[in-house]
This record gives sequence, structure tokens and C-alpha cells, in this order.
Amino acid sequence: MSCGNHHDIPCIEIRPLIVLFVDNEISDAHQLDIVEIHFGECPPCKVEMERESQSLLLMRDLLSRCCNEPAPTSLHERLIEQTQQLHQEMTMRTEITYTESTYTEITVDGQTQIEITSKIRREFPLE
Amino acid sequence: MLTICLEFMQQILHSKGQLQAGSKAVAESSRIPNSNYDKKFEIGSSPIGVAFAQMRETKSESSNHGGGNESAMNANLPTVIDRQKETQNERTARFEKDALIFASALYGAALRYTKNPQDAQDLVQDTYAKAFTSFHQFEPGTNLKAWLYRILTTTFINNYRKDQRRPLLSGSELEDWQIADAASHTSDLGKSAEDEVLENIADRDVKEALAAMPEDFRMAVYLSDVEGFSYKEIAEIMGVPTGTVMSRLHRGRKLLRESLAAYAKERGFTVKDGDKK
Repeated sequence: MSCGNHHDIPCIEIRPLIVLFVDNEISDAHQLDIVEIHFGECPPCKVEMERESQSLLLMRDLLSRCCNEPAPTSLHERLIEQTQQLHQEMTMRTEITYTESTYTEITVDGQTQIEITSKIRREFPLE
Repeated sequence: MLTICLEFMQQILHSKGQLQAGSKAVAESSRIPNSNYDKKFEIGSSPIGVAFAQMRETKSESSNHGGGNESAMNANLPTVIDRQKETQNERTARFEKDALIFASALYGAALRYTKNPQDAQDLVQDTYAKAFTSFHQFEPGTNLKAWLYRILTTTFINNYRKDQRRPLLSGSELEDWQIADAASHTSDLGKSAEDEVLENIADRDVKEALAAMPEDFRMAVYLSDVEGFSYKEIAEIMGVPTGTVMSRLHRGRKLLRESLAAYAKERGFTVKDGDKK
């Protein structure tokens, strides 16, 4: 599709870039220059760009308007609760478990009494 | 100023019952030079978040003044070091402050993905559970929103998609697609006239039209036109090449436009022939 006028870069090469231009996806400065210069000298391409831009804006408005559904408060509450719960679980993982044993030997008048205790201890050291 | 900040930090840590560990962390972190982490992390909405951010900044400046060449040399230290020093309590607080605010946005996307409020809520909850447990892998200062959307999308594809088969178009067809096709719809008939009609369309029709679209197209359109992600971000979120994103997005938009025009026609908003090109 051409407007019939001569340009350095023909319209047919510019048209596919219009949607990228409108989406702000032409990051190459040189390419951006080419496209903008072309719009400056080719009214039909400029009109096409403006139409595309307007059309996209409208579509975005429409979609944003209808997709604007806030999450229920119950979900927010669940998320906070879940985070706290996972936090607990993650900090629990750093617990230290060890067995504390005692061995006591008491000898009185030749009689020996032995006492052994064993206790499993859990500690949650500060991070 | 530095002393005041440190005291304040100690007070906060003390209130959490972590005075001992806290002082150590402060002592260590005060040696950390002005890394990117400090700068980018100062966006805080809560007063404490702001206070922390200010403290970090002040601290960084002071260490810069005193550090001279040494701190300039260390300025490129990877942020990983900060994350390693971060305690679980700090990380959880950071998650609650930075990540949970996207719940509503993620819910909106989840609704479009699952088409069902209950599934959408479950999906968001699963997403946050995964995000929390792998939050230590997230690099502070990079795009948190896109990171969360990536988890949401992957979780949806792996666990929620009712139909595990790929919809409609095969992968190769999409890969082969060229940018030139992107403009195919720009030459469609009567677009501006169609637009006029679309302005009157009901929200319910828009939702139905979206829901009826092939999933990959719907995701691409939603991520771009509602969430405002760039092609590159969408590519990362969906785990596909940028070319595929362009294909899905442009075809998706075209499909949506056509489908909305059909709804409009059904509802009696007709496009006048004279308006067509």
C-alpha cells in the first residue's frame, strides 16, 4: 500500500512498524527517527498511525473498565494469613534439636547409684 | 545522623526481640557501600518502610563519605550479599510491603485466566505461596510485578488449565510468523466506524468476548492492554519468544475487535456502510 508519493523509505516498509510505534516498542533510535520522519512527510501513514493509536486507546479503556474487579477482602486476609503461616514454617526450619543427657554416679559406703537422664531439647535461636 | 539512624534501627529490632542479632546486622550492613539495592529499595508506602529507606540512604551516604576509593570500588558489589544478610523477618516484612500490594492486579489476571472467581482466588493464593517461598531468589530492584505475573502464569499453565493441550495454533506456526503480519489488521475495513460502535458495548459483552478467545491470545492482550507490560516483559511472563508475543497480541487484538463488533451488531449498534473506507 503506497500513498503514491516518493519517500526515502517506502510506505510498505513503514506500515508494519506502525503498530510497534503505537505500542512504544521501537527502541532503536535510528529506526524511530525513520518512522517519525516518514510520518512527517506522508500524511496517509500518519493518519493510519493516529487511527491505530486511537483504536488501541479505546480498546485499552474498554478492557481496563471491564476488567477492573478488585479482589475480595477475604482474599487479602487469606494472603496475609498464609504469609504469616509460611513465615512461621520457614523460621521453624532453623530450629536446633539436640539431646541433653546427664550421667550421675553417686557412691555412698561402697554402694553405687547411677542416674541417667535424657531429654530432647528444641531451641529456636534468633536469626 | 548515622548514630540516630542506628539507634532507631536498634529500637525497631529490639521491639522484635532481636537486639543482639540486630546490632550485629547493623554493624555489618554499615560497611556495605552504596549498592543498587539501597537505592532502589527505598520505595516505601508505610511510615516504617520510608524510615528504613531513609536510613539506608543516609547510611550509604555516610559510608561513601568515609569510604573514599574503597567504597567506590565496591559500589558494584552484587545485591546478593544484601539478600544473604537479610533475616527471614526482614524478608517477610519486605514481601508483605512490596509483593502483597499486587494482589488485586493478580486477581484480575487470574480471573481472565481461569474465568472463575473461586479458581482465580485459589490461583492467586498459590501464586503468593510460591512467591513467598522463593522470594530469596528475587533480585531486589528488578521488576517484582512481572516476576509475580510469571509465577501466576506458570502456576496457571501447570495446575489450573482445564485443557492441557495447546489451543488452536501449533507452536511452529507462531514461531514462523513475521512482524510484517502485525500490520495486517491495520488495513481492515471501517476500523474507525467500528470503534464508534465499540464505545457503546457493555462490560459483560467485553468479558464474554475475552473469555471466548484462545487462552494464549487472551493472556497476551490482557498483559499488554490492561497491565501495560512491554512485549519483552510479556515474553518473560509467558516464557515464549518476543516474536510469539507479537503474534499472539496482534492476532488477539484483531480477534477481540472482530468479536466485539459482532456483539455490537447483535445488540443492534450497526456500522453505517457510508463510514466504511
